[in-house]
Amino acid sequence: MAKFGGWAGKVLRVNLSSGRIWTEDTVEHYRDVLGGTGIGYKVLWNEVAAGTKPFDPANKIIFGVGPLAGTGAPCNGRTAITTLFPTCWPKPLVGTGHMGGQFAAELKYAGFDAVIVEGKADHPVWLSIVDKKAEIKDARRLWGQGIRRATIEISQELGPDAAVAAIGQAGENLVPMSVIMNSYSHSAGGVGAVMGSKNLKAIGVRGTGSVRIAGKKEAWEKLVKYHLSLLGANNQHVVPSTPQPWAEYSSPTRWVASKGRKWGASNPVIDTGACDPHDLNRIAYRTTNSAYYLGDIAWQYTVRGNGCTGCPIRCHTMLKVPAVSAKYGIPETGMNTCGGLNFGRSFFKKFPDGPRGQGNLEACMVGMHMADDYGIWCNYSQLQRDFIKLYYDGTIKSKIPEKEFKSYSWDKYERGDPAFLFELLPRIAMKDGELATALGQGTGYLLEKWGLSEEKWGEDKDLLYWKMGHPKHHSNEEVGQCGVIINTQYNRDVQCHSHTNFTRNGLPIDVQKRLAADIWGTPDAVDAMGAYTPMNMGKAQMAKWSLIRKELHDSLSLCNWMGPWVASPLKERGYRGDDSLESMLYTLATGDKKSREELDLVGERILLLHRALTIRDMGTKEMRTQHDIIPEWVYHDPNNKPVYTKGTIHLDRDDMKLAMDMYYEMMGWDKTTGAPPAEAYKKLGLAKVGEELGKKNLLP
Amino acid sequence: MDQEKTNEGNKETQEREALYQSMAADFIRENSKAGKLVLPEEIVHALHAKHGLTPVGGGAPDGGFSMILQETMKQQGDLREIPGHDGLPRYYSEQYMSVAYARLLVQKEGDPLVLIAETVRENSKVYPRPISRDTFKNEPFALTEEEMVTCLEKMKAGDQYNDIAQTMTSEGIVYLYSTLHLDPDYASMLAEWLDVGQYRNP
Amino acid sequence: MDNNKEQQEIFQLFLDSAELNNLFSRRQFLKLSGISIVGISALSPLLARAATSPLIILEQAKGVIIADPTKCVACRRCELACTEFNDGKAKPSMARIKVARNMNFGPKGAYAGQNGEGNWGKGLIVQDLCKQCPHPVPCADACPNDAIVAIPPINARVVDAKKCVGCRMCQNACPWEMMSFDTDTSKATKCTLCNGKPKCVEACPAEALTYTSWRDLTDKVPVRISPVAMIPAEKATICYECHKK
Repeated sequence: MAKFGGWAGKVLRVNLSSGRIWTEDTVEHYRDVLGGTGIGYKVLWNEVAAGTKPFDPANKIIFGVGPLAGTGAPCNGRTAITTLFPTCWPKPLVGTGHMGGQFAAELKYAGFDAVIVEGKADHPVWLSIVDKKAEIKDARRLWGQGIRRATIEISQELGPDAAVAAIGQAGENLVPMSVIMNSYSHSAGGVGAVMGSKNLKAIGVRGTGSVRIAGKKEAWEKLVKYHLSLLGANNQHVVPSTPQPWAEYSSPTRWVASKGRKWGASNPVIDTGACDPHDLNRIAYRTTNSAYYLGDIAWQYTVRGNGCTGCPIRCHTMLKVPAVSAKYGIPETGMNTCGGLNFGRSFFKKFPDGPRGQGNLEACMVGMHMADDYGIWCNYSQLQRDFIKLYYDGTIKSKIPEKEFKSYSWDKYERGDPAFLFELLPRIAMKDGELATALGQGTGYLLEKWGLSEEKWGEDKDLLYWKMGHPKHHSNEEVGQCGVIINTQYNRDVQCHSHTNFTRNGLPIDVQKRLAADIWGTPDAVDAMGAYTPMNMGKAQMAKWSLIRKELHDSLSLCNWMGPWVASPLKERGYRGDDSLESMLYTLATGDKKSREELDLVGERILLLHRALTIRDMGTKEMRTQHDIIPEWVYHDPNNKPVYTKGTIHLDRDDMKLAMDMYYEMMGWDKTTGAPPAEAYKKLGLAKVGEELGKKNLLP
Repeated sequence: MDQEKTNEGNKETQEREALYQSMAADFIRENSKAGKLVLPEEIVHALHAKHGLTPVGGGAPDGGFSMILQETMKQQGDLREIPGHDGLPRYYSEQYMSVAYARLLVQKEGDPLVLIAETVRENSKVYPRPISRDTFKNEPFALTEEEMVTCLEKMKAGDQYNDIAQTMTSEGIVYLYSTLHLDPDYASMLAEWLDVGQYRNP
Repeated sequence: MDNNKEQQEIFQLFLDSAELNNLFSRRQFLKLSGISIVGISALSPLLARAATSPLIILEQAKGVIIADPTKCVACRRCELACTEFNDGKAKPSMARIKVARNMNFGPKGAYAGQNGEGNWGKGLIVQDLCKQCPHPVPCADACPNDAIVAIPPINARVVDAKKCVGCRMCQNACPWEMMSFDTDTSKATKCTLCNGKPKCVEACPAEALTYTSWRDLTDKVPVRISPVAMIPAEKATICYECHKK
């Protein structure tokens, strides 16, 4: 028997140029980085040289899951796909797309903790992984077809419970704004074209094996139930959005269940009811994201919740809208969690019946259907925001040939007619025309191609643009300096929700501050939204914690859109959650005993690797000025309100300088450059990494 | 012989009392789960109607019921009493209903204007946040449009409620807040965030 | 002797000691009408066990799990609870409640494409559960080693791992394909109702599973396969004791 539980034990390696397939021992090679993004960063560091481009055969794409994937630990169905990110501008750097669905669990049952693909096949292929055996198979028949068809055809071969991760025509055509999709509707952003550049159409997985739990099964059962007892709704919101009999508080959160609010397209209808947090048999009813995003109109069209393997939250709502089948010829069912459910509103400036009416709902169904089949990425709706601006300020008209401009039904677009999407989305996937091609490049390359100023783009606060071709993701608009720090650290939009899961959980600010004192050492670590106060070490601590936990979750396979679980809906606990859930789950599942602090160090190691990779591939140690960029809009208030007064989200430049100072100090990095010194690498067991950077003069 | 009979009789009475207590407690708890406060007469009615119970006797005018209720409240640690709008007691179980919700239900019994004002003030103070006008049309407030309009008009008129203010988001949704706790800029920013911002930043 | 009357008394004895529901269809009556007096005397108390003859009739189960497909949210926590909490490993392929095989396309499988049930069809998730069959119990009858027994007090049909030799005859016998096989131990396994506190029911976050008193679901749920296992010859002779005309 394997020494550790949790891990399946093997990493699958595939070279599509040579056709060679081999395996590595997971624990031997990657235990120090756990799994997921950890494996991704390690492989890129060790095996992919600086200067490699995303579509080079030498680029590698790492599908990584963690020791908790496939177990009964709540919220573990996540796969991290790490590679050189095509939309990263001006220079592609390491980035990760994340997908839910069934892939992570099935990969574990098939006997693998990761799949690392390199090289390029000389014709379209798909990778079959069935119970420890991998095969490269011909995909010529699947190439040119959508994701759904590929999924179904591969399932017919591997079995109805196979998990299929596939690209659509967008990925095939090397459109950078493309996704890898598994289980029909669970997408990983930004990585589709890398798979396409390798002529890899899909990975089909079928596993009948097991994930061993090292700890005693009674202890595991107890821990799992304990974790379940602390769960809130989606994003770990712990307060219901309307007053409920059992609840002390209510806030507009994602906990939307209430008596009278029904899953109306379920047959028969199901009332979501008052979901008392002690009732663990009703966790799935707390969240109905379709209604949260599309408005109350969506209740009648909601079938039920859906989502990743083993997760009780069911954030991935299934909608059934018969009208869209008749009107647009698309399937009447569709599923999504958030970005997809925004497809309508974010694309169209207005709808005849308002932002939460039938028009928006239908546009969302149409958009989701096509984007998820062609495999188009929206870049956290940056695609849509850019599109609106470019259209309405006349840029599109001025940049593309007149004939092409006329080929679009702009009247439909202006009217909010969802049918417009049939004209635009397929063309993006097929690189058909200048507009579609430009949009498919990603914001950074689009701006460059059309000679638009990135700086100006960053001044418009409505565009939500941050840097390097990507938007912000939970920055100062809700979490002040902590959010800004977090947003500086990555090469794509930050996929970190640790901080915002907490600040949006619905608890009153006093309660949040009380909890913050326990978690980050001071109640001043959190401010009420829009009532920001000057920087302090507590906020730096919170930023560090948020980032470390994000990497930890992405490497363990825990969902960072749920965890950490530091708050809970339980009044009898003072709404406290448990900051040690990750380490307890890890310890019991693997048998590798780690305290919270010890596991956080591993997370910090993974985060540091990401930093090292970025520094190496940028070829500069001047991270503070070259990479950790903050856009202008952060510092401006449209009404010129003074900073740190109530009613404004903007921050002060000097205070943000101090914030970055504090963050670097907290991380043990050099304040001038923002680069980690040799000691920082040594402290986290990455001495060799530090040495290599030293040789290139990339240490401060 | 007689003593035994009396003892037995006492025992029987005690058992019956204990039974009534547990039934009363359960009735209160069931109602709390369903979001309802309970009036004393509702408990009596339930005990009679549902269980066909006869009064305990002892010569008390209400059949000894109020004593049972008092005992129930003492024995069962989760039961609470809250004065209703009319000053008379209502009952709920803390296990299934929060004090906040109980208070809301009591406010609901009275003038909707007070219900709105107090709710708006509390939200502006505690979270802090403005609250959408539409909230009051949904459960558990369930006010009609007419009631809303009337109350908001009345609030503008009187002195007591001129802290209750309105702000409109970019999507035309009205939010209410109390100037005692939120100033207009802050309130309008928060309203915009709650109504529009949150969804644009999923 | 009034054979009919005597037979009716015997049937009543049969029913009473088996604690079946009193709903008793004509079909069942007719099925049992071939019972001979000789067979009956060996039946009491309903376990046909002469010194060396194999077990053939199992005590009725006291409980059964019922699934509501319209509430299933396809999370598979039932499968995970079943194996993790009982076997100490996450192994949905041997889960004794089966959801994954119907999850994407519905019970008809991948050839239904987008036109079946399941996540990628019309949305319904059908959970497959052991019906704790009344006599004749296909899996128990097919086992050449009598390794599937009813364990009191719940009387769920349970695989006795000590007796199981891993021949998989039971897997081929269950019309609903509910037998599981642990490839790590090479033993069959099946739903035990977790001694009356089924872990899957406890784990379901959507109230889609209910544990309730036993009722006969064998004629209510469509079969998945035509069973290909046969009752071993030595057991089949015992059947004649009750079923000969």
